[in-house]
Amino acid sequence: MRIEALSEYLLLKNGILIDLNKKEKKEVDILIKNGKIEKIARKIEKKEKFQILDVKDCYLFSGLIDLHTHLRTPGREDEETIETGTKAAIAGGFTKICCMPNTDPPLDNESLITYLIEENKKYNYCDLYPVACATKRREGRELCNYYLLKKAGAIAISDDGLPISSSRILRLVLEYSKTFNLPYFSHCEDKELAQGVINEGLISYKLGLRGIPDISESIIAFRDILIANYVKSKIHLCHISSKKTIEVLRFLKENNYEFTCETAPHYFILTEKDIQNYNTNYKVNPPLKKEEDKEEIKKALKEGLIEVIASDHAPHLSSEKEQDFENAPFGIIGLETCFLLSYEELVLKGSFTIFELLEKFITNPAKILGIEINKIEEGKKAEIVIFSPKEKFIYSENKIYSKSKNTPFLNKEFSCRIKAIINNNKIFYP
Amino acid sequence: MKHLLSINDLSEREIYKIFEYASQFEEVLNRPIPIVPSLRGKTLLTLFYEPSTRTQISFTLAGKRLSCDVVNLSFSTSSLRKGESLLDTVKNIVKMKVEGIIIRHSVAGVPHFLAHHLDNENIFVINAGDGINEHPTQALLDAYTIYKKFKNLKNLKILIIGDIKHSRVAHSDILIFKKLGCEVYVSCPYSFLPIEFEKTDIPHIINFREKLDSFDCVIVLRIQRERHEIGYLSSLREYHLLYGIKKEDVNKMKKNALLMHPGPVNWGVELSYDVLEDKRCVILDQVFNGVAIRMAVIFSLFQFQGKI
Repeated sequence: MRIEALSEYLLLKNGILIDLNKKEKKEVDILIKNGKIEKIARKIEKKEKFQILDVKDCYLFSGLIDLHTHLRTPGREDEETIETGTKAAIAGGFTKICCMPNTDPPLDNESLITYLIEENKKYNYCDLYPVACATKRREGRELCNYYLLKKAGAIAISDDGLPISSSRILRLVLEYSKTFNLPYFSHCEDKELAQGVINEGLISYKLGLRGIPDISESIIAFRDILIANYVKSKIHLCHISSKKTIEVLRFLKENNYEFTCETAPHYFILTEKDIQNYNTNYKVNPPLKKEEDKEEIKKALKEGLIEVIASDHAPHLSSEKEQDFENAPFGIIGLETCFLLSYEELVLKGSFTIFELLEKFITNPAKILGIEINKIEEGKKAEIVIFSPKEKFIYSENKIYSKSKNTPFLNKEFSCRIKAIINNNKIFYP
Repeated sequence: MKHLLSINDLSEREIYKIFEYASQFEEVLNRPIPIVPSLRGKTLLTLFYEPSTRTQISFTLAGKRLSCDVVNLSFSTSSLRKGESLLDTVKNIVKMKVEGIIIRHSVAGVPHFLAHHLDNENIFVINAGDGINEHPTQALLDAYTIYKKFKNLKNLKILIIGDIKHSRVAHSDILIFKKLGCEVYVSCPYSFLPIEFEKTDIPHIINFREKLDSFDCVIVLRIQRERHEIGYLSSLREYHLLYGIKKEDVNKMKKNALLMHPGPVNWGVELSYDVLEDKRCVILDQVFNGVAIRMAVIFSLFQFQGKI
């Protein structure tokens, strides 16, 4: 990836500014001075000292926010590092990412949170918001020090990868986190029930693989929302994947229960049928489901029941991923493809407007985290994604900036691409 | 007042009457021979199903200073341990011909059960702490300590910090302070706040530090370490950082404010040791006042029985 420091003046010519407030597209030139937006106007005259970037036909919008990334640091820096992970994030248009705490050691103390934030400053590609563990060692028994974790920079708490199996402890987690206004990110999976590797059904039978019932997700989603609402604490559900869960969520929403939730692109693009030849790049957790689940996820996104699309970027070494289906780890990388896949599936092939899509990537995640969006306005820091909605792009191996290559979308030809990203006084060309 | 089971048993007038007796008994306690013959020939029984030293001693002393015979039964040394049923206990008490009993039990409502059955026998019951329900004499001595300083409790601002949900002291304190017209505030993490507490008229403050200069009295509750073991606390260290009172906090309090604690203190958890030297810290005065208040309570109950 080409990364350049911004020159004193950068003029973006002929871009299409996506205004999320007014929901309108505007043709504009944007002048950036020393990393800040100096002027936005229909036409800005070129001057000699201006560096010019023609962004004709490109959409310009604020940096995307990912609520669910695995950076594998500390512990598995052979799979991903802060440097490679945040570079992959930037390549995918993300300028703010939340990293999950299921590392080794897990992010259950404030010194690790401080370490990640300090380490990220060395590269400063994007902002890093660590999610801290809800319980010590992710064992679901003892609460972590949320006050100290928040002070160090934790944005939320989660035992991601695991649910908190004791309802009593979960209640305490939610009551204690409410004290510090930290949202709880719930990994919805009944571990007792979910002892398999793909979705349970005819396909798992045909492949001879152990199945995970889809209700494993619905059960914990229902329980966790009930407990969170009982103690009036904030809850966000990670990677929702099944129709049954959507039905439960719809029922709860209609009855005024409060919660937010996300899904990931593979749950509205792929199905269990894609698992051919035991290709482990389709092994994800929660597992890929049926056509009807996929359609229901899209419907829930459209109606606003699912507010966020997250990557669930889960890097794994090829040496670990390339083995038998039972033993290969769950997860695929997703930071670089998350937005492109969503744009293709929901806007180009579907009925979404660009505004509706960007709500799932910018407005809603910012609201859940309680953070400010760097809007494209005069006087603001330049944090701009330059997205070309018509240009072809092949996601070849040399376009993968993550340290791991485990993706089912390798060599996929996209009909859109992220042309460049401006952030932190730098311009990135993925 | 036939028994003292709850602060709800007391009217504002009765509370001030108890304070009046307590200040008279204080005078007795300060004498070279601190004893009066008021209750000579009377007998009290203390039944402690839960381990306690200071409350049991405080009651025993209170009785003895009034020349009352006090017999102590505690869980570890008696048949209480052998699983005698409460009803059997009642029958035994009746036959023992005592005038009153003082009971502590880990289950809420046990003093009320005994009182119900002893009602016709003209034996009074004092609740010395029942589960997470109430501890009325602690509340009386807390209020009395404040009364000695301010004379009138109306409109005083009182902050209670700690495990509001499981503290019988907090429960009785809130009742007595509201009854006496104080403004009561609580501060604790949500895990220590009773569900639906927002439906009471008692404000919950998450960060009390910025408002410390507005209170006339700060009551710090004891942290029950066993709560920590079952997951209520993230760590004693974080609790101390967030809710522990340190010297710099006391310095922010009003000059004439009071800092109280029902004891025994976990130093370094709910209080740091250096607060003890501050004049505003009246923890040891509370112990002294406790004896006087309990004398007053015992005296009042005998008076009600018409035996003095």
